[in-house]
Amino acid sequence: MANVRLVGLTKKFDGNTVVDNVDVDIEHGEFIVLVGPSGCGKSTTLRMIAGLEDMTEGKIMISDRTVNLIQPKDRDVAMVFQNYALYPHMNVYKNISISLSMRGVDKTEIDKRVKETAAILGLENLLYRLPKQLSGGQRQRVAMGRAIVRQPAVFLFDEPLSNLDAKLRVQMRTEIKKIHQRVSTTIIYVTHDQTEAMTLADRIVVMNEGKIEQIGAPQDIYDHPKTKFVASFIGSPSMNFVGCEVVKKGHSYFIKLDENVMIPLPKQYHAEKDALLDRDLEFGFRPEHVTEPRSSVDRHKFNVTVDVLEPLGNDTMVYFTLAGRSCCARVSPEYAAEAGRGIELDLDFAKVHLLDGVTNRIVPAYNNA
Amino acid sequence: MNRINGNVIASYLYLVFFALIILLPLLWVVSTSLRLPVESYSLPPKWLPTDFMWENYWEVLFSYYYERDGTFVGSQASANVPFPHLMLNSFIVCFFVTIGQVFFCSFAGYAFARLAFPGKTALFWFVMATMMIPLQVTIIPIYVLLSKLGLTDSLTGLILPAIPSAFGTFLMRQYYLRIPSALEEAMIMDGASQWQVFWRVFFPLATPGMVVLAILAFNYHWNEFFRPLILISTDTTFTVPLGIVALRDYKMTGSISVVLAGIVISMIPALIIYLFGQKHLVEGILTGSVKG
Repeated sequence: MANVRLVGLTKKFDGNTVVDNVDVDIEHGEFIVLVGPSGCGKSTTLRMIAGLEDMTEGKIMISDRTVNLIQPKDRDVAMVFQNYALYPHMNVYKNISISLSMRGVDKTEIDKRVKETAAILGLENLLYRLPKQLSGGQRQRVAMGRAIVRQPAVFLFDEPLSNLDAKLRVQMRTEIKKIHQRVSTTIIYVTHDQTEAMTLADRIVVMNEGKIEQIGAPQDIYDHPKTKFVASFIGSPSMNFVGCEVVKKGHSYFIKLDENVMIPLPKQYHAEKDALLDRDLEFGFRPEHVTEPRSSVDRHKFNVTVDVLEPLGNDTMVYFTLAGRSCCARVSPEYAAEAGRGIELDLDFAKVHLLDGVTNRIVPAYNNA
Repeated sequence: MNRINGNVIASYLYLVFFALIILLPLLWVVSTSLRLPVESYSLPPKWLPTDFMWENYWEVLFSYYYERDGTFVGSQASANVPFPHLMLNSFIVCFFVTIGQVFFCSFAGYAFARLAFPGKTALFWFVMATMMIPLQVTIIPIYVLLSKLGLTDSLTGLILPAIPSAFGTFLMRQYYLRIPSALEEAMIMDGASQWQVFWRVFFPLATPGMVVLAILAFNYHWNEFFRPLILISTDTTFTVPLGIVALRDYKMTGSISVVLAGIVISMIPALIIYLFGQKHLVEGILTGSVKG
């Protein structure tokens, strides 16, 4: 087990900064997921940790040892590649054992460790097959076996499930989580799939354009995103945003979406309510927080016309237009709704967000409990 | 359905037409090699021989050593051509050139495909540019060099200059380029040195490329005429193509049938190698042309 520290990690390609001053502290045994859209710098960050990519500036520490100038093989890290990178001319046994044989490990010890690893991954019966004779999931397991057998201080996973079909992806996700629970090694995992990030991570690092947008526990990031990017990237379907302003009428404060839609300012924003007046704001809410009418104090009912319905079985997604912006609500499948008809929806006040339209940062909420 | 059948028939007619263009001369060669020389020029031409003159093949293969009655004469009959010996010469040249090209081009191709070193691109294009220079331009300097080394009129003199191959280097480089770089990175992460990356992964994975190179190199040098013509002067050091020319003067008769029998015999090794490696050859050429 090892801790990993990234200090001011920066990578420039031909003057373009692809990783910009990244600072992350990763604890012993932690499962960290770097998530973000394509080109956000997450894979480059991982490759710099592996030593496959030189850094332009900054420092990488593994187990309190600076590894900037240390060769990949001496960093005590193992990597699982997106395309498996299995050696096609070697059978599963050789694929798993090659790292040990190149390090001069005794043959008896190699055999013992390969068989232990195969048992963890359920590969015992496949040890003498070639990669081309394996299914996608089995190949992925061999790729993981190659990493596990080395018993490294840190595992690096570079989008390991993106080549698998949806069903297998879910299955392998569980396998990876089980393996982490079993070996308790520090894992740094890169994905563009926010569901994978949410389900696997102890902490998520959300990256965008080479920078870290937010670091936190999955639920914390989901409930309290700090920027518009995080709010819209985490969660599926993503958070709805509608332009708004905060207005004062008498002693009451309202969020005004347009001339017809005014919502009372939620409690969590009352502490800063005067500071919200006359600001360029956006009103954000997740689809699951707009539902069929339910009885609760902290809710606001409003009427919309349904544009499109998407029945998912367990829920129905209702698309409607609010203040000129297309929005989405998640309602019970029993709730009678029909495209083109009016419908009453119910917004959970406690879960809404206000976003500063200039900085694109979420306005901090107080007494949010 | 009729339209599809029409297309298929048209395709077959097209293929058969071109196959005939290629195969008919070969058929003529085989057919004439089995005729009496006098029949070779008869009009109208006959596609099949009337008498199968296997003696023509006997003349090519054994007349240097034996009289027709079976008496061994060794190399006494100086007007004859020691064809089996020339085939052995050709085989020795092709074998060593092929091994040498595959060995060195594997290394050079890997260096150009995978290693980073100063001046790599310039050096690569310099090597490629050597393919543009005709052999006729370089043959005199090569002759002078070999002469100073005392290697003219020897098989070594034919083998050594043929081992460095720009084409082979290019072919192997293209082959290495299509091997995913993730394999190299995986090996590096697994603790491999650069040599181990090459020897344990890239070299074995490039085997089909090497087979292609070996087939092409063997066939090219088996049929090579110009260099042996300039570099070799003794008839016992001749290679097969020079021997075929020499057959024209066989016992001063200039029998076309004997010459063509020699050609048929000379085609056999190349044909065997092609048949064994055909799958790799076609696959390999496509591989080199499009970066996968």
